[in-house]
Amino acid sequence: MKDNLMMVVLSRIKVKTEDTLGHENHPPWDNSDDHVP
Amino acid sequence: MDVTTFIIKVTSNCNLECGYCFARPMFKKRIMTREMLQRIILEIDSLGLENVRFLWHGGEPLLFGLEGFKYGLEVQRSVATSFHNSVQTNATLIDNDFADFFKANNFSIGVSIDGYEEVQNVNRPMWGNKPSFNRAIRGIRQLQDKGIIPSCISVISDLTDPNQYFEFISKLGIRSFALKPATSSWKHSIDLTSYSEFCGKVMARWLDLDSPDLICRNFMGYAENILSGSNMMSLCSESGLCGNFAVVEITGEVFPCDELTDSKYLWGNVTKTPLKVILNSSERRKFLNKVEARNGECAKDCEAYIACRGGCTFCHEFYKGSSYCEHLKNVTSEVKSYVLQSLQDNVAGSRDSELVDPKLLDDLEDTGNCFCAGT
Repeated sequence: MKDNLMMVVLSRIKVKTEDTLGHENHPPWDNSDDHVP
Repeated sequence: MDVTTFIIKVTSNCNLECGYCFARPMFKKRIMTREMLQRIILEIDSLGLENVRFLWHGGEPLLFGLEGFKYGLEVQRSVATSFHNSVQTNATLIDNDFADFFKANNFSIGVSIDGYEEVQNVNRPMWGNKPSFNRAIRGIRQLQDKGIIPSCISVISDLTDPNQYFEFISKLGIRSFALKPATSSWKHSIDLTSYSEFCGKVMARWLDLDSPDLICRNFMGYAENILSGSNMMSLCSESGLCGNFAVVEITGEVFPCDELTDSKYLWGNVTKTPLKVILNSSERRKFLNKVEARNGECAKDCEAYIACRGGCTFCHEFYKGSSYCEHLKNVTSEVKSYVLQSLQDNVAGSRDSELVDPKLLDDLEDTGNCFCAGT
């Protein structure tokens, strides 16, 4: 894994750790396009 | 556990006839009534959640029509809950008006497209076995012309060449893509051994490209889980947790997942029971307890658990025996090797990041800093 993707991974972890939207035990970030019809 | 994403099947119909489609045999050839859509939105609002994600789904949801979408948003705006809308579409029906509407209303767009022309046209033909590739690309361009950068999901068949696929997907102008194996009895469905190999080849190309503007959600999700030591849940199918989702069919029936719509997974029907009661029902609790128990077993003795967190319930059900877990072990071990190698090399200062699981750094020390990517 090179610099750019490593930086993306770390930034995504940071966002997900901080963004809770007030829910409990939940995916707080935008994962709503993670489905196959 | 809160449901935070509601997958609303506004149509039980599609203008494509994908060879592997699990929903097609059950299509009722009709769309959701506006009364039902209104009822569902009001029921979601009654849960008292501040924010929810509302995924317009089908079949092909755009068959619901632009006026139907506009009506849904009117109802959403009349209630207290805040809705973040997204749509999962085959893109063939996206015209200028739909694209304008999605842009104006901040929709997230997921496009289902299986790759380059030869594969897309066999995997996902229009009705009458007509090619769909050009129409899908035209729809994606409509979005891009409005400044919307969609994400994609590709179902992989035994026809899909990994290099040709990556060449295509990396030049499509999307923000992310996810991979999924064709899982039906269709003649071109892919076996999991071949699918693991496919993933390995695409992963190598993706890592080599090293573009911050093209995320593979499968591999990125595994990397996030491994690095953080916690469940980052990038894909529902690879987070081990099903409890954040609920699917509502055009009939009002509520299920855990768009792929788990057999009667044994039925939690209730919003025309007969309030959604709040359905989500607190013994049926749902039993389902979630079963998922949790399976994940607990996975956590005890499987090296892939740190990455997959128990995986996808549908896949566990579909692939009998250990083949699904073997696939997860194959793919996640490759990702872990890349991650550890990157830590060893201190890529992007990763070894000094407080976001990295300290246990992972301990493992790195214990093994003498010897990790070889791809082994």
